[in-house]
Amino acid sequence: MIKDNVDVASEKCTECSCCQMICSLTYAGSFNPEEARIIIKPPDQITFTDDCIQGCSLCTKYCVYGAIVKAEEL
Amino acid sequence: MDDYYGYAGKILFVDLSSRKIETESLTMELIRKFMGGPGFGHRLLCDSLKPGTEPLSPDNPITIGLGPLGGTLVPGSGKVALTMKYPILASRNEKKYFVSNAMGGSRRFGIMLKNAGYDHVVVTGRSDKPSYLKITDESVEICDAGDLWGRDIHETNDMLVERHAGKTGKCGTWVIGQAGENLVEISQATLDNLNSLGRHVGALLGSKNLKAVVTYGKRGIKVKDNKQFLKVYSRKKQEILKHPHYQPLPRLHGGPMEDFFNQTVISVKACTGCIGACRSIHEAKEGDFKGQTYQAGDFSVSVDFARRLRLSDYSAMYKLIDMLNRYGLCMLTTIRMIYFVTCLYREGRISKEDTGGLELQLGDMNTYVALVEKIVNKQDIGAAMAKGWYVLSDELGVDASAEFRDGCSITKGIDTLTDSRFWPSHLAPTMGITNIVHSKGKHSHGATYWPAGPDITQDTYFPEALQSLNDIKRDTERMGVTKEEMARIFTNGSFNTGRLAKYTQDAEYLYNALGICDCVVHWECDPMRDVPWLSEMYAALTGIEVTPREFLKAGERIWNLEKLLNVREGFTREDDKAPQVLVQNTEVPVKLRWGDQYLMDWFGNRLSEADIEAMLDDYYAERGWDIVKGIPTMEKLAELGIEDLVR
Repeated sequence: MIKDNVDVASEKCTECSCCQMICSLTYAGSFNPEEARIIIKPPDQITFTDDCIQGCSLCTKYCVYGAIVKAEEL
Repeated sequence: MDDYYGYAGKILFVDLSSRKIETESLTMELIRKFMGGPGFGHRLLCDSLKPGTEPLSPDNPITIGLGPLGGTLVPGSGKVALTMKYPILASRNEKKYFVSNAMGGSRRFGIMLKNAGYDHVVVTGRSDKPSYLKITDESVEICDAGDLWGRDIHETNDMLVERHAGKTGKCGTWVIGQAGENLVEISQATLDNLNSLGRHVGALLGSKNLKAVVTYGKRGIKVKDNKQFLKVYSRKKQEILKHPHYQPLPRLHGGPMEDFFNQTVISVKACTGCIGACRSIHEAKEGDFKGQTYQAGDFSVSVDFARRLRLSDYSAMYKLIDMLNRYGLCMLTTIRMIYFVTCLYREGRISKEDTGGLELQLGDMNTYVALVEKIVNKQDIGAAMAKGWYVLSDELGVDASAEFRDGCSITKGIDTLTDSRFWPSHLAPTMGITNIVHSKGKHSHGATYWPAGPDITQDTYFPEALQSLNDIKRDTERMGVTKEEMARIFTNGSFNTGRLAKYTQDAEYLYNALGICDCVVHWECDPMRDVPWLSEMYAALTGIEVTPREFLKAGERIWNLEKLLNVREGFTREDDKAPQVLVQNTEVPVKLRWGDQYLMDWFGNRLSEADIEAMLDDYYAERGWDIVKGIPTMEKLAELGIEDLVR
């Protein structure tokens, strides 16, 4: 899925998985990277699954590295 | 127990000899007493490790797992704990080996182990052929590693990830290289292709014909109270982000080191859940090895080693460390040994007869590459180097622990991470003593109290961060130390190093048991050094209420249990001797650029050998141990509820 409200700077990703943690905790009820709706594939691919909610940008609040940023904040 | 929160709820037992695979559920008693990580590991070793077991025999178990906070959003929660009897000879006089734990950061291994359904794994026996262990939420399998054996760590990791990764393109891996396969005692195993877990353990996996462990799963780690968890987490995270020490990327302190880092860095990596990434991957932009990439555990340590080896071409350093990473050799020990034997050769104290015909020259890359190859293949001088400092000393007729270059001392057969002679400049008031009394030759941050001071200088690898006494008091209180204990530690405008060390160790083992990174706690995320907050976090995650005091007690219990395991192996106060480089320095100064330097305490007071012994007396007294023997008393063990483990 291409998300309108999230800008991605994959080169800044450290693969800390914080985005996947909060996503899976919120939408799957546990810390479970495989159930997250954001996918991080090394070396630098950040993508979103088709069931990712278009308006949601929760993951951006948990990225301290600037790899995923809420669009209007750029 | 039916439902587990934070914990996966199971321990996995794998016997590589019989290929038997069993599981056991966690009990509330195990959880409350030992928390997880090294707590579980040591408790499991009590039953599975017989005293006197040969380290590289099939009977020596490996236990690996993570704590309850592991694999969650808590910063630094990527840590994985390994507990075992190490293969490094710990005494020059007796055949003795210590039992201890190592902590390594993971990006996938830990969280995937828990998602596969296990908190801890105990591996025993020896496979009859090269194998790797695959642990997933669907099955546990001992797989054939015929096509992996003989390959380096990066190659092996890539093949396993290709084979077993899930939707996100990743699985957890813990891999040895050729050094571990060849039973080189100074070898290491590597987590998720980037982090050591740990120094001097690769040979143990090799001795079991175990090339790797792979983890993958999607069971999910449940949280008892999501709302409360995120509330307690977010409160601390905001505190961390506003703290003056916080920085998300590796700490280089500005100046030439940072410029150098920025010129060559390709990417920065973090462990699971971490908001203070410390790992980086670099590429040489010029030099004989232009284009060479390497993965840095700590970039500034690599640069320090390049200086020591007189490598003027930095790309050569990248090449050398990449070799060590791939073979799976401990970088710290290997480079220090290479430097040591090269110096001996230059001084005419060893000859070509000792080196197998090699001419050793400082600054010569051919020398270093040849020595690395000899260590990995255990040839000539490399065979002795492969077995650690004491065997090397005996073979060459020298005493490495008495003249170890650059001041890093050798304790219980292992070179310590840093120079602990000049304690004020190394900012860790308890580092010297914890180097001496740790069960293993303490070689990392374990059980050291690192105050995170406000002043950072540019010209030293370890920045001077001098704290006030009040800062140290505040940090000690945050560890959950009582008023009575504080009164014993802090007296007459000073502090008692031996007594303070006891609590820094207990707190350290609590962090390890919970599964959080001590680097994060002591550096990037200083506000996390907050035991009451950790107990809140733990309660929200697991639903188990534990007071901060009980938390610190758990750390103490695990420390005592580790000691107990070592007492079974014959260790006493006799083994907690100050390294000779420290003792010598009480009388003979080291010439530094700012003048002659004697051994001193944190306040800058010169220390005598008797002062060191007095410090040890205070330490054992605060521990409630037998001061003469330096071991726990039955009263102390009964107080901690582990007297039944004395066998």
